[in-house]
Amino acid sequence: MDKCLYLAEQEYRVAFREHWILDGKPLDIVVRSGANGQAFLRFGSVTYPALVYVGEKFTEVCVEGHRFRFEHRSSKRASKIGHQSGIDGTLTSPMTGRIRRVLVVEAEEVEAGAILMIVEAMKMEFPIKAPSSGKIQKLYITEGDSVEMGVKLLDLEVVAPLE
Amino acid sequence: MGRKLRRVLIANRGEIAVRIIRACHQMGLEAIAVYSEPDASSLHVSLADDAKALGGKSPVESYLNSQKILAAAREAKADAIHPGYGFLSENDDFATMVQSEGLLFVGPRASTIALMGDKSAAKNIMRKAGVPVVPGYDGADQSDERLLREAHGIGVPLLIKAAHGGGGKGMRLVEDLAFFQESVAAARRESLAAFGSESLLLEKYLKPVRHIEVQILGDQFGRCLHLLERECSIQRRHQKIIEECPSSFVNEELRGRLTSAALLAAEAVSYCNAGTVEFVVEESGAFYFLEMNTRLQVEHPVTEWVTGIDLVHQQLKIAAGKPLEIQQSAIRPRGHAIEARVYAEDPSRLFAPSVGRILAVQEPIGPGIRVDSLLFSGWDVSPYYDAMLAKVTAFAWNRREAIEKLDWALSHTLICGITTNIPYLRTVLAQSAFHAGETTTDFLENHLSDWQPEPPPLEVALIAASKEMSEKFKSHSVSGDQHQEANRTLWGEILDFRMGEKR
Repeated sequence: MDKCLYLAEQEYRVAFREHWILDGKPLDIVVRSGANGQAFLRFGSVTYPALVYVGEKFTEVCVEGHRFRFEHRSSKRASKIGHQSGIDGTLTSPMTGRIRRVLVVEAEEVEAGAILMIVEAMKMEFPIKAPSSGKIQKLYITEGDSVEMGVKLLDLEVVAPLE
Repeated sequence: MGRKLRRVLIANRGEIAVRIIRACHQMGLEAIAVYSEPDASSLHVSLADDAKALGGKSPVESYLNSQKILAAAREAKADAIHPGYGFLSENDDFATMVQSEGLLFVGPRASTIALMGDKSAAKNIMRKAGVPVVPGYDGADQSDERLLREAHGIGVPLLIKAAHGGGGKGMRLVEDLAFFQESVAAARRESLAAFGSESLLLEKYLKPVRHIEVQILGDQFGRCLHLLERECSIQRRHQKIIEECPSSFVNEELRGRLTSAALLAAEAVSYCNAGTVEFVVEESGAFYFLEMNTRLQVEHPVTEWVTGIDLVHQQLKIAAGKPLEIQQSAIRPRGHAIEARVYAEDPSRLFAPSVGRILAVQEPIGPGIRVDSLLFSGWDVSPYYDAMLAKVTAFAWNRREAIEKLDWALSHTLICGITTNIPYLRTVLAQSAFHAGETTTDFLENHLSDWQPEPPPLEVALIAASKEMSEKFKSHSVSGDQHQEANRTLWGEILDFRMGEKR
C-alpha cells in the first residue's frame, strides 16, 4: 500500500510500517504532531518545525519558512502558471497587480532583456522583460488594467529560438 | 487641554493598527478602526471597539483619503486620531484638518510635520544647528534640466529620493548618469502614487555607511528626551529589513554625539510627540543628518525592549497633554533587541510579491520574543498595500543571544498559503559578518547578492504531509471494521498526489 508522490516528474513512494519508508528505504524520521497542523520532525540529529495545511486539492507544508505544495492527483491538473513559457512565446503576469506601463506596441521588434511593461504591486514597480528577442504578436492588456497572477500579458514571436 | 481623551480613531491598517488598538485598550481607551474594502475582515477591524468602512481598494480611496477618515471620526465620536506610520502620518494638511475639527492629533504639531516633511527645509535647520548634512540638491526647481545639472555637480553614485516620502518608495540609486532621466521618471511616478507629490531631491550616496537613528520623545511643555539609537543598516532596495537596539557600532562617545545632535534637532523645532532623527554614520564615526521622521517608526519595538518604555502609551499621554514623567538619566541601554521584518514576497523570484490566502499560520511564542502581526488563517494578503506581514523581535542579554533567539523565532514562524522572505532573513542572521557587526547599508549586496534558497530535506516535507493527511482522514472515518476500509480508500485517493511547483 505504498503511496506515490511526484516532484518534477520524479516519483517518490512513501509508506509507513512502524517507521517511514521512502522508495523502499527506511528513513530516520520521527514525527510528533501538535495541534492545528503543527508538527516537529526529527531527521537525523536535526528537528524541523513544520506546519501542514491539508486542503481539498492539495496539501501544503511549511518547513522553516520554505513552502512545499503537493497537488492531490485526483484533482484536475492545476493550471500551469509561469513567468514565461518559451515554447508558444506567451508571457504571463508573475504577480497580481496593476499594469503601470506598457512600453511596446503590437508588431514591435524587441531585443532579449528589453523592458516590455511594468507591473505594480504593493506600491513597488516590477519590470517584465523579454525572455528572448522577437516580435510582439499580440497584447492582451492595456495600461491601468488589473491583472491576476498567471494572466496572459502578450504573445512574443520568437525570432531566434531559445537555447 | 480642552479635550479629554476617551476614543481614539486609528487611521491605519495592518500590524500597526493592531498594535495601537492594543495600547489603547491597555490604557482604558476605546479604539476605532477604519478599513478599506479588501481589509473588511482584517484583524484590526475585529479587535477595535468600533469600525468604520472607508470604501475603496486603493490607498487613495481609503487610508490616504483625509475627508473619509475625518467623516468616520465624526461619526464614531472620536476624540483623537492616531495616524500610525505611512499613509497620512506625515501629512501636515491632515494634521491641521484633524485639529480644526477639534480633535487631538497623536503626533507633532502640523507646522513641525510640514517643516520636517520638506526635506530641504529640514536640512537647512540642521545646518543652522551645526549638524552636518549629506551633500545634495533639495531645491524648488524640479525641471529635468536642473536636476540633471545638479546630478552632474554631485557626481555618482547618487540617490534620487521622494522629497515628501520615506520607506524606500520613490527612491532610486543612480550609478551612471546615462540612466538618470529614466530613474527620475520612475521615482516621480512612485512618489506621486505613494505620497501625492512628484518633488524629488538628490543626495550623494555615501558608502560604506551605517544607518543609525535616534528615537526622540517630546511633550507639549518643550521637554525633549532621547531613547537611544537604533541601527537599521540591513536594507534591501532602501527598505529596512533588520533593525536593532543598541547599535553594535556605537560606543558611549559616539552615542553622546549622536543623541546630542538629535536633541538639538528636536529642540530646534520644539518637537512634540514621538519622532526619529536619522543619520548615516561613516566608519570613522563621522555622521550626517539624513532626515527626521515625525511619526512612530516601524522598528519602534526594539527601542521598547531595551528602554522598557511603551512608545505608543507615551504618544497617547503626550497627545492628551500630560508632561513626560521619564528622566533622561533613567534611560540606559539594557540588553539587546533585534527585529526582522517578514514580507509577503519570494526572495528566489526577484522578491516578487506573494499574494493570496493565508491557509495556516503559527507564530513563535517564548520569553523575549515579540511578534507584531496581523496574521490569521483565512486572511487574504492583498496586492493593494505594503507587503509587510509581521515584525518578529527578540530580546536577550547580549547581541549574540538576541541573534540566536531571533533565528529560532523565525524558524518557528510558519505560514502556509503565501511565500515569505523568512529564509532570506535567516541567511542574514547566519552571516559571520553580521555576527561581527560589519553592518553597512551595502551588506546585502556584498553578502547575499547570489542568494539561493536552501530548502530543508524534501523527505521532511514528504513525511510531514503524509502524516498530517493520514491523521486528518483517520479522524473522519468510522470505527470497527469499516475503519480500515474507509481509511484505505481515503489514503488511496488522497495520498496519490503530485507535487506542484513550489511557490
